[in-house]
Amino acid sequence: MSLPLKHILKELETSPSSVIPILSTLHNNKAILQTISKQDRKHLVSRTLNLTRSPVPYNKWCGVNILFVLSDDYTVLTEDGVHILAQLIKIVEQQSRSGSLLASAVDCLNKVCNQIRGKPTLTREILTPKLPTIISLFMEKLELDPSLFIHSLQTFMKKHPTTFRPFGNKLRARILEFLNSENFSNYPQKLKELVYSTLASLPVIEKTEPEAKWQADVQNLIHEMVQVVLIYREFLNFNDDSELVSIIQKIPQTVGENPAHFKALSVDVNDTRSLYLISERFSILCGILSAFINTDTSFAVRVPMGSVLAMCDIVCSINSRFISFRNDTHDPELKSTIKSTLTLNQISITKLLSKIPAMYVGSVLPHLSNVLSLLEVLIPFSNKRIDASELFNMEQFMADLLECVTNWLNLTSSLSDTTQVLRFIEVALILSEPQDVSEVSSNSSNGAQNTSNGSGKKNKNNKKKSHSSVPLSDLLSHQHLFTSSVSPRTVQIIRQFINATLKKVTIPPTQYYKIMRYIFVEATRAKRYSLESEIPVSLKDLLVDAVLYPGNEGVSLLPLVSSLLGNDPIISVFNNPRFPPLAKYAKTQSEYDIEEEDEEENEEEDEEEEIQVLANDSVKSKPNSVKAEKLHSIDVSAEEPFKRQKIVESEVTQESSTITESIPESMIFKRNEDTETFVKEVTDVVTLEEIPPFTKPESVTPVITHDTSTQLIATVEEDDNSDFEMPSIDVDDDDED
Amino acid sequence: MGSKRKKTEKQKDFVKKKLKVGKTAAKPDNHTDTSFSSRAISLPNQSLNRKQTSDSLDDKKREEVDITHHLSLVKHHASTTRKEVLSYVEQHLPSNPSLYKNIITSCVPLIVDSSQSVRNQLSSLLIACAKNKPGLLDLHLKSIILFIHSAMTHIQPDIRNSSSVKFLAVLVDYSGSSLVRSYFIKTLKSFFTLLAWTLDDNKKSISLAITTSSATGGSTKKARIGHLLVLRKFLAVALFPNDEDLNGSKVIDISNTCMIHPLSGKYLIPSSSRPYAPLKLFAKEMKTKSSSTQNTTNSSSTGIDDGSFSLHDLSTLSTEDLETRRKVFNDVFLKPMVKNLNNFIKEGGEVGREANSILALIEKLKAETKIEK
Repeated sequence: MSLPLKHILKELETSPSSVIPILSTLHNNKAILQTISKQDRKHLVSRTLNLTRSPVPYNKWCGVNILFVLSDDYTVLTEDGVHILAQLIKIVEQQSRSGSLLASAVDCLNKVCNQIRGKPTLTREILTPKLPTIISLFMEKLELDPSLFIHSLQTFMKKHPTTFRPFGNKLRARILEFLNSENFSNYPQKLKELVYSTLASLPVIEKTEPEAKWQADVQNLIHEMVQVVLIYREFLNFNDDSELVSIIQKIPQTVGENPAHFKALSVDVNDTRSLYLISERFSILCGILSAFINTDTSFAVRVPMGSVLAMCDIVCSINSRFISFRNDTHDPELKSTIKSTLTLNQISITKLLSKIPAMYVGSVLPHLSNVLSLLEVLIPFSNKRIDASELFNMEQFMADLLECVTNWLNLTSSLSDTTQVLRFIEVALILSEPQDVSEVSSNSSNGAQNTSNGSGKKNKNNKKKSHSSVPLSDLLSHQHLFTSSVSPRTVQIIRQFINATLKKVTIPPTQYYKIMRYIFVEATRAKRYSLESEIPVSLKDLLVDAVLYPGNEGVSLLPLVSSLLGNDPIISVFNNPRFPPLAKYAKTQSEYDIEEEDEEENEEEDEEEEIQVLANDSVKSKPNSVKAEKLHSIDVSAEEPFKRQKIVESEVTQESSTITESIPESMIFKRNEDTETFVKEVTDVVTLEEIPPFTKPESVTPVITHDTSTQLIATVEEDDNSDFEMPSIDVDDDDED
Repeated sequence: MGSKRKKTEKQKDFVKKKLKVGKTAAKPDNHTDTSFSSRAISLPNQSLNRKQTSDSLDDKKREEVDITHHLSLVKHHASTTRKEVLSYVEQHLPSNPSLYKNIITSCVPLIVDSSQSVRNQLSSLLIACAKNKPGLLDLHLKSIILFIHSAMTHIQPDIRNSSSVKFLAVLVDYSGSSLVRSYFIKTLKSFFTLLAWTLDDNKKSISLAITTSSATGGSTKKARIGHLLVLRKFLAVALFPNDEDLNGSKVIDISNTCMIHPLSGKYLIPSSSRPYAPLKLFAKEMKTKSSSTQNTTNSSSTGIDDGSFSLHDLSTLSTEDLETRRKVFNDVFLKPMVKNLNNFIKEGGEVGREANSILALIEKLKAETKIEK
C-alpha cells in the first residue's frame, strides 16, 4: 500500500500521525522519487528538514528517518546533500544523552556518508569538508553511545585514512581510556570486540609503511602479554620446565617506542581478588591480539604466527601440573586462586587459537600438531587419567577446547598421528554422559551423617537421621529425576567434534566402539521419544559418516544405520546401488607371465639384432644353413609358451634355410616378429636409391602382406631368376634413410 | 419311664466301648472311605518322543529324537551315564546343523563337572563338533568361555587343572581369532589367577594370591606344564597376525584384492560371528569410581600421561585389533608375567622349558614391535 505524494506532503507539514506508511511508500515505491517534479521534491525535502528543526523530539525523529529513506535518491543528495548533512550534524551536536533520536541521527549520517562515498564529485564537494567536523563530533560524544560511535569512527578511519590522520592519536587515547576503565571486563562482548578491532585498525592511518607499524604493534602486544604472564614467576618455579624458559627467551623484545596499552599491574598477594586482575588484563590483551590477527587490513602484512604460538605455548606450559609452587606460597586458598587464574588465562588462549584457522586456513597447517599438543595439556589429569569431576566443573571451557580442536582438524583431510586426538575423544565421551547429581548429593549427605554421628547425643542423631532420610528416599526411587542432562551447546560441539574426527582420523577400536555406541543410543532415543520420530540433523550426519568412513574396522555399520535412517538418500545408494559395478580388469597370473615374456622377447629381439649384425659381417665365411641353424637354435631356445610361435618361425626358418641355400648370401634378411620393422628393413634393403651401381631389377620390391613366410618365399623365388646380384649390406643404425 | 430311657441313652453315649483283642475299632457311622487305587497304562508305541519304527520316517527325525533323548540324560546323577551319553553323542554327531546348538547348550555346563572322565569325554566331544562343523565354537563362544573362566577359577583343583588344558586349548585351536578378539584380557587375567600370579606389585595382592592358592590346593607341576603350554598357544594366536583360518586355507587379504573401491571389502557380509558385539548396545556398563577418589594419598594432578594402559583401563578396552592387544600386553601383563616365568625357569624341568618357550615368544614380540616403531 503506498500513499500518494500529496498526502505525504500534507502529513509532513505538521507532526505526522504515523511515519511508517510514509517510510514504506518512499522506500518501496521508487517510482515516486524518480517521477517527482522538481518543485515537489523541494517541498518534500524542505518539509522534512523543517521537521528535523522542530523542537519536538518526535518530529525530529520522524524527519531523521525520512531523510534516511530520501538519501537513497541521488538527485536529493546532489541538490540538498549539504543541508541534510548540516542538519544531521546539528541534531547530533544537540543531543546530550543516548536515545533513539541520537541512534537514528548517527545511522542517518552514516548512511548519507556511505551514499556519497565513492562518487568523486559529491565526496569532494559535500563529504570531505564535513568529515573533520563529523569525526571530532563523534569523538566528543563517544561516551553517550560507545558502540555506535566507535563503529562509525572505525568506518571513517578505514575509508578516509588521510582525513582521519590528525585524529588518530586522540582516538587511541580515548580507546585506551576505555581499556583502562575498571569495569571494562564487564562491558558487553560486542562493545569490547569493537574496541579491539578499532585499536587493531589504527595502523591504517599511517602515512608511510602502515604494515611496519602494524607489525610493531603486534610484537609489542605479544611482549606485553608475556610480561603479564611472567608475574606467575613469583608463585611458581619456572625453572622446573627448561623448555618454558627457553621459549620465553625466544619472544622478541619491544620494537620502537610504542607505549604499552596498560599501566603496570599492582597485585596484592594478601588480597586474592587482586590476582584475578592478572587474568582480566591478559584476557583484554588476548582480545586485542585476536583483533589484530583477524581484522582485515587494506595493506599486506606479515603475521608473526610463530611468536603468537610461542606465547600460547608459554601460557599453556605455566600449569601447576608441570610446575611446582614456590616454598613461600603455601596458603591453599592462594594456590587455588592461582590455579583458577591460570585456567582463565587458558580459556582466553583457547578462544584466540579457535579463530585462527578460519582466517589463515592452510597457512597455519604446519602448526597443527604443535597446537594439538598445546591443547592436550589443558585437559585436567589426575593419576594418569582424565579427572572426570574436574572436567564437569570446567564443562564450558572443555566445550570451547573441543570446538577449537574441531576448527583445527577441519584444516586437514586426514591426520596420520591418532594419539594426538585420543585424549580429546575421551573428553568428548565423558562430557556426553549426563551427570548423576544423586551421587554428588549422596556423598555430601553421607558426610553430613558422619559428622552428625560424631556429635555424641543419640537422640539428636536419631532426629537428624530421620530428617535426612526423608528427602534421600527420592534419590533411590526417582533416580532419573536427579540426572542433569548435557547442555545443548555442549552436545552440538561434541557431535561436531566427533564428526570431524570420524572423517579425518583412524580411531582405535576402543574409542571407535564407544563413539558408535553413543551415536546409536542417542539416535535410537531421539527416534523413539521425539514427537515425529525424527532424528536430529547432526545425528543423521554422524550416522551417515559412520557408514562412509568405516575406519580400520572390518565390519560396516550399514545394517544398523539403515534400520535407523530408512529413507536417507545416501544410505539408499548403498542399499540399492543404481549403477552396475564397473568391470575392473584383474590381471591374472598368466597375464603377468605374458607381460614378462613380452619384455623378455623384446630383449631377445635386441640380442637377435646384434647377432644378425655379427652374422652379416661373417655371412660370406659361413654357409647359410649354419646360419639358419643358428637362427633356428635361437628360436628354439625361447620359453615354452612361445614355443608354438617359435615353432612356426622355426618351420619358416627351416623352409627358408632350404631356400636360402640357393639365395646369395646377401639376400638373407633379418627376420623379426614385428612385421613393420621387417617391412622397413626389407624396403631399406631394397631401396634402389641407396644402390646407385645397380639398375632397377625387373622384379619389383616385394609387396609385404601379413603372411610373411609366403612373401619371403616369393621374393626369394623371384630373386632366383634375377640376373643381378645384391651386394652385401651392412646394417648400421647410424645410416639415415 | 421316659426319663429312664433317656438316662440309659445318655449313659450309652458316654460309655467307651471296650476294644476286643484282634479286632480293630469300629468305624463311626459318618466315616467316608477316601482310599483309591490307581493303575498305569503303558503305551510305548504312542510316545511323542519315539516314532513307530514301522512307519517310514526320515533318518534325520530319528536322529533328532535320539540326540534329544540322550541330551536329556546329560544331567544324570551318575557320572558314568553322563560319560556314556557324551560318548554316544560324539559317535553319532548329527548332520543337521541346528541340533548342534542343543548339543552345545546341554553339554557345555559339564566343563565344571566334578568327574574327570566326564570332562575328558566332553573335551573330545567338543573337538569332534568343531571338526565336523567349523565355526560352531565361534557361534557359542560366549557361553563356552563363561564356563571355562568359571573352571579356571574353580575351587576344586582338578577342575581348575583340566580347564585350561582341555577346554581352552580346544577354543584356541578351533576359534582362536574370535577368542582373542573378544576375551583376551579376561582370559589372561584368569591365567594369572590360575597360576597364582599377581598383576599388582603391592603386598596385599601378593599375599592374597598366596593365601588363595594355598587354600585351594595350588596347582601341581604337571598341571602347570599344561597351563603354560596353552598359555603359549594363546599368546601366539593373540599377539601375532594369523594368516590361516580354521581350515588351514589362507585368509583373504582384502587390501590386496582388486575390488571396485578400496573400501568395498568392508561392506561385505562379515565373516566373524557377532560383529556388533563390541558395541555393547544391549549391555549396561556399571560406572566405576575414578581412581582419583580411590587413591587420595597420591598427589592430585602430577601424574604425567604417557598414553599407556593401566589396570583400571582394562574393563573399558576393546581388544578387537592386534595393536591394542599388543599394547595391553606390554603395558599391563608383560612385566608380572616375565617375573613369574623367570621364577618358573629357576624351578627347572619341564615347567622351566615351557616357561622358556613363552619367554622366547615374548622376545619375538618385542623384536617385532621394535621393528614397527
